[in-house]
Amino acid sequence: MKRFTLFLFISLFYNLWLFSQDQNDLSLFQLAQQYERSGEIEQAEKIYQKLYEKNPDYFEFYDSYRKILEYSKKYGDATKIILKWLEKRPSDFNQIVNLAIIKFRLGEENLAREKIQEAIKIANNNINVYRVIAASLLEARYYDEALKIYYQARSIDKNAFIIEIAYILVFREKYEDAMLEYLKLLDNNSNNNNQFGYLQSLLMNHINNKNFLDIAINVTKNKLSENRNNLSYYYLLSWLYNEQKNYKDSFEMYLEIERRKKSNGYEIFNFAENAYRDKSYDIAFKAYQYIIDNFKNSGVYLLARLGYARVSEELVNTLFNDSLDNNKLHTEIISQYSRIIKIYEDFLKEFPNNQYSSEVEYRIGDIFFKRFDDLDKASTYFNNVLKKYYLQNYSVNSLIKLAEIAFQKNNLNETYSKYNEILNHQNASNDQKEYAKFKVAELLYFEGKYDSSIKVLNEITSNLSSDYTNDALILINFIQNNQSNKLLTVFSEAEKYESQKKLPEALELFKSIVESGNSSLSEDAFFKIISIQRKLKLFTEALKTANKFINNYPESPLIDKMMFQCAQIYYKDLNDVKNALTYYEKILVEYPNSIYINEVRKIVREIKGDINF
Amino acid sequence: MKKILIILILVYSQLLSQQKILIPMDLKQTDHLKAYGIAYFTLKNGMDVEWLLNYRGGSFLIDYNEKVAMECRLRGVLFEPISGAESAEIISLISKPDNNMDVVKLEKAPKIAVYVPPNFRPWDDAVTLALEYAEINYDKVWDSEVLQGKLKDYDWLHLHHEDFTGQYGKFYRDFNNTDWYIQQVNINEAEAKKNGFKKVSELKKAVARSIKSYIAEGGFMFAMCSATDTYDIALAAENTDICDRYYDGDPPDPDFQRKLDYSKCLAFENFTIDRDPFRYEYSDIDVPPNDMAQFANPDADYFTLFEFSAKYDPVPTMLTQCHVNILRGFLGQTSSFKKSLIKKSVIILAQGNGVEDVKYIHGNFGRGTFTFYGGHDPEDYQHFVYDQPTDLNLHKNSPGYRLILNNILFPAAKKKPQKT
Repeated sequence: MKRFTLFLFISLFYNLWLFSQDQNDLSLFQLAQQYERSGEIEQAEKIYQKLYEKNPDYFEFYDSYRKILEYSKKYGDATKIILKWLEKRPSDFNQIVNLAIIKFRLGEENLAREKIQEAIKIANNNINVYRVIAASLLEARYYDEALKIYYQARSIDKNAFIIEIAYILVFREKYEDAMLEYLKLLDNNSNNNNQFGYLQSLLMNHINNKNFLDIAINVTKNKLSENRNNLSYYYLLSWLYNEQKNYKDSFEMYLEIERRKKSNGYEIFNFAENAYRDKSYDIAFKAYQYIIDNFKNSGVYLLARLGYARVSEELVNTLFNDSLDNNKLHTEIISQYSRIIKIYEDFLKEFPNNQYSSEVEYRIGDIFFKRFDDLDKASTYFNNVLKKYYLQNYSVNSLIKLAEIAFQKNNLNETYSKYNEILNHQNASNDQKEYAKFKVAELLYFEGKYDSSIKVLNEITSNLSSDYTNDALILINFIQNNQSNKLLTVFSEAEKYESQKKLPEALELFKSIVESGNSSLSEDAFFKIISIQRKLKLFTEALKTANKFINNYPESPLIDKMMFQCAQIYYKDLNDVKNALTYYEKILVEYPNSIYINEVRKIVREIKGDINF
Repeated sequence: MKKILIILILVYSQLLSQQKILIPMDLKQTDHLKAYGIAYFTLKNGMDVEWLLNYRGGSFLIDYNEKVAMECRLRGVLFEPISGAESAEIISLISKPDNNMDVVKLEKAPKIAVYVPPNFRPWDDAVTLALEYAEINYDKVWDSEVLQGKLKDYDWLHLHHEDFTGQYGKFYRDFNNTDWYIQQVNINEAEAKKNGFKKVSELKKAVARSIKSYIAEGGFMFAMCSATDTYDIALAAENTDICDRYYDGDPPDPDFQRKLDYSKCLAFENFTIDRDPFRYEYSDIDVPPNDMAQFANPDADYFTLFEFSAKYDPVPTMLTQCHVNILRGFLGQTSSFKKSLIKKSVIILAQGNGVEDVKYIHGNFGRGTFTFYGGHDPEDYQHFVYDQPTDLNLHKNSPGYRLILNNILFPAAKKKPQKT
């Protein structure tokens, strides 16, 4: 009811005010506004002047006239009417500020500053007056003057306008001062998470700027050295270090937070998990290790042990990636992965049958399979996962591995059975099911059951969103192109051996295809032979095979591919740059439309550098 | 007569004996953009290049050299080794009066300067993208260097899509709080202060005047996108203030439109400046206006290159060498130029769909020339702030980019004394 009465009162007052003006004046005022909007400043000014002169005390007319005078840079006339207005209303600080801005524009800076001080005094040091004045100065792009006003406001409230000041300082690229301002938000709220989150959101606008980030870190470090009890500084510094990808120093901050907060390892654990997710394995390893050494009774101890095991495996993986074939490293690999297996097994012993056990058993099995080639031991672990945790995440992955093991052991019925189990497994994702289906089709192809294989492959190709559609199309195409060739069974069997890593057996079969004479499969067989010879490090043999192809099939559309193979064997395998260059340049000259041309250009440029006359 | 005959026989026998590299620039060419890089590479290594205007899309003819041939192969540029007799035949065909073709000898690799701010990245700008892709060297210059007269060291100047009006691209409404905008303002204000100017707009006017002197003394200037109209606006606004307070802290001169001096402009006249400080448009030169660009249809946006007489108008012919005559349009802060606002002395090289829509212009000023090309990126129809840079490996035969590179080779066509 009160609100309604107020509304009625305001409406009545407004209407009275409207009618109190001459109707003609109002129309003229609207016309002037229209002129102003359409850029006809001169016309608008004339009308505003007329209206102002008729009623100089009416604010709307006065203010519009003042504004257009300022817009027209008629600062003398604008000053006159402001002073006239102020004669009757000496305490109207807004008009004093307008006068001050005119003085700034006229270059009378001292006078302008005096006027601003006058306005502040009149408004009785009200903090909002500072805000209004600074806003006017900012609008006129007097950033440094606005900054002074904000600072002056601190005589009333020492923490006033932190964000406004920091913003101007960032705008002026004074990052150190800006950061010092921002840190004031934390000064009096040392343990206030909301305040820390708010500061983070403000800083997010700037930390993409590397200069700002570096300076922010230094400033926070200095502040921390002055006040070691403010936990927010530690959190902030740690976050800034993370943004800089400096996990080492970030970890130091978390250690300090843990010491001070005594969170029983939770803080360090959060840090370790973040570092693991960001693949900063070294530092994640240290963090998990720290929890294991210091917080045996913590609620995160079990998870830290699991994290420690995972990260240890990742660290060993980075050490030996792709070096399984290197005999010199073989003993070292066995020793390192045995250590990892022990870490996982210790975990299983200490924490039997929990929600993480399936993952741990799977990981042990995977090491035996991938790193030790110990198919029986690997099977034991994968079967354990199936037996104990059939409905958990790692059961489908274990089935995939068991299928691969069965295939390597040439137990094809078992392989089919495992892939079919995946197709019916309730936890299998669509992607896993498509994979299993493709593997079944591939198996049928290996066995020479081409029609059945094509049938399954066609099912895959009907799903255009599948990752295996392209592979399926390629295999269908290959089978259909060669189905009439009686050597296809030999070829598919050779491919089976190759997939089973039985390289010598595969090599013999591919050679038999080549030796049997010219057939549509011979060219493919040549490439297969070279690939296997390179895997077996028979580089001279591989070159002989390649040259035989070049001599036998000079018109082959794959000749550039074979030349590229020769060049790569010389360059990558034998480190013979001179001979490699001969082949690369041959491709450049004779096969300018080869699909390898861009790669060849890059390599030749890499070898020869820039050509100068 | 006898002497002439002997000379002709000698020249002919010389031609016959010398093998050549022909770089065709028609649809057979595998990488048109890098072909310009080969011409530049050849000139830089002290060999001449003959530019065969209108012959197979504006092909290049070079004395056979194994290193040039290998460089072509490495850069993926299609070339044809031809005999001296074949090249003589081509030259003879070109010389026939009824063929609109000519041979222009390129003698010297032009020294190239690109006017860019210190925080510039090569992918901000189509010209630098083209130069980088074609492997053509360039130096960067900014306001201080221009004001210090360093342009005299260069044959060719490219204006990055800068705003010479001092309004920071008129990005205020949407981007005034972004780091890059703030940095841009600070860099420009610092540069103005360093050079003794109170306002950035005053600094830019002085820079525009220095560039004009450089052209008058024989320089070649090429501008794209907003560097075209803002350059002329800055020249016209020499005695007035067109910037609103959001850009320079004080209101514009209310009478600025009347005070514009079009006689100072290179290319445009009688244009009207946009008064709205928040509108992403400088004047009515731009076609279509930026707020209408959203309605533009890329599938229907094309522009056509005009044909000039190669033998009598070699300069416009060089600038319009292309393997196609109709090119896909592309927008920019300034997309095309309104025909009715272009000075009569300016040559129109390409026109868009509409009667008023001119894409590409060229003119002379003093002993130099200027060329304006509307739009931002010929292979990115509507380029927005934060868009990924164009990968020219995917546009090796871009006709739109080719026009840019014509401009770079054109200063090599004749030796011109530079004022020292």
